[in-house]
Amino acid sequence: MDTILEDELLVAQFQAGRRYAFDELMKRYKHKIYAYLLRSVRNCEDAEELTIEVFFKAYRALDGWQPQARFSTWIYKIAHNLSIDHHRAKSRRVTFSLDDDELAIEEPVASDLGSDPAWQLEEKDRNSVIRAAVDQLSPNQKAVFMLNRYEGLQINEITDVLGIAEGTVKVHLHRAMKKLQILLKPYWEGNEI
Amino acid sequence: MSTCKQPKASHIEYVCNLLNDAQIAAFNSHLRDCSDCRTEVKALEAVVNLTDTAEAEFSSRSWELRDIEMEVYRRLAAENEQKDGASLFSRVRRLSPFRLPMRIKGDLLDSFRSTGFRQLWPRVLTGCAFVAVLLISVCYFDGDQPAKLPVVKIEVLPSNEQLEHYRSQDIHQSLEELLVIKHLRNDEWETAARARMLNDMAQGTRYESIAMSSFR
Ligand SMILES: [Zn+2]
Repeated sequence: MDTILEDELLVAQFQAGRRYAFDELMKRYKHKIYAYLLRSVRNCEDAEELTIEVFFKAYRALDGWQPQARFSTWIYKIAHNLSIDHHRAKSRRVTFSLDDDELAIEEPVASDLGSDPAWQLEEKDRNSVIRAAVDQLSPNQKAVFMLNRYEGLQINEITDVLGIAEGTVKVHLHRAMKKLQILLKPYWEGNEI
Repeated sequence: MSTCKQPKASHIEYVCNLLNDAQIAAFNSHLRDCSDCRTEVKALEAVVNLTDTAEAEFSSRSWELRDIEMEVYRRLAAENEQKDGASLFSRVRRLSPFRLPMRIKGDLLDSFRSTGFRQLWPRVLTGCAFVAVLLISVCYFDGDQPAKLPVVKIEVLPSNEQLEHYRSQDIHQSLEELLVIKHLRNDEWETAARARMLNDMAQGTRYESIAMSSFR
């Protein structure tokens, strides 16, 4: 059966007073939302706290929810907004710009990426260096890349989640890929072909 | 030097699965003849393979997530309690249309100053009575004007019921784990520690006696 329909049916049940329908929605999305938030904030405790906050907010807002977009994009939207708030709160320590119209590939072949030859790093270290490269993307670039690559969302769905135009989503994705291509050059160059 | 006219963005859209079937077929046939594009696509594919592997670790961690449902319902229930506690205050606050206009307040103060308290006390008493009647009517007839005073309410009972449901599920699960530790693992220290935890959890619930009796 179509999960979109099922999601919407569950919401309809919830709105009709059968509150336990929310349990099923949580069961369906908690791992996805947690994984998304974990990739966004890179900290298990923060991700768990934010996941709780997502469903808390969703429960309170679900009575007024209209099935214009998919439930899944709506719940990702809540998660995304909360992760942005989280980053903003933390940005007093780590400064990054939320307006990311600059591609800014400033000598990024990151010192820690370049200094150790890729093949010398343990796989676990290598993965964390790769994730660090992903974290060097601007918030919007990273969000678009993550939503497309790991949540399997299409451009029009990402548009709903982030509240930005389709063309802008494509630009962010394009810049994210080009930036990663440069940042991760020491890794893919040796492995290619 | 490359002579290929293929737009750069299409390589990314191809790798990120954003093309439709017809576009994919067209791009595939172009790739067969264009080594520049083949190289570019291979590089992009290598990049996403790297990030896929690195991010896969994070997907697997999502299964370490504890039951968040209980925490969600706990917060909803706590919020309801708060709302109930604050309801009288918020009802009075919503009475702004009936608030004593500043002009009348000023008049009262003026007459207080000019006539003194003795001549004023009947007015003050009348004022107090008016306020009392107002408060009572707010408490009893609040529901009569839903259109003017909209209140978004989260049902108290269901989320409390859900919380109770999850609490009992939690207790059941702890009980099962405890039985395993006690009878299968024979770990006395862990058994005692878990038993104390379970007793704390079950306190004040209908599982209290079960929790107590299971581990004597
Ligand atoms: Zn080409």
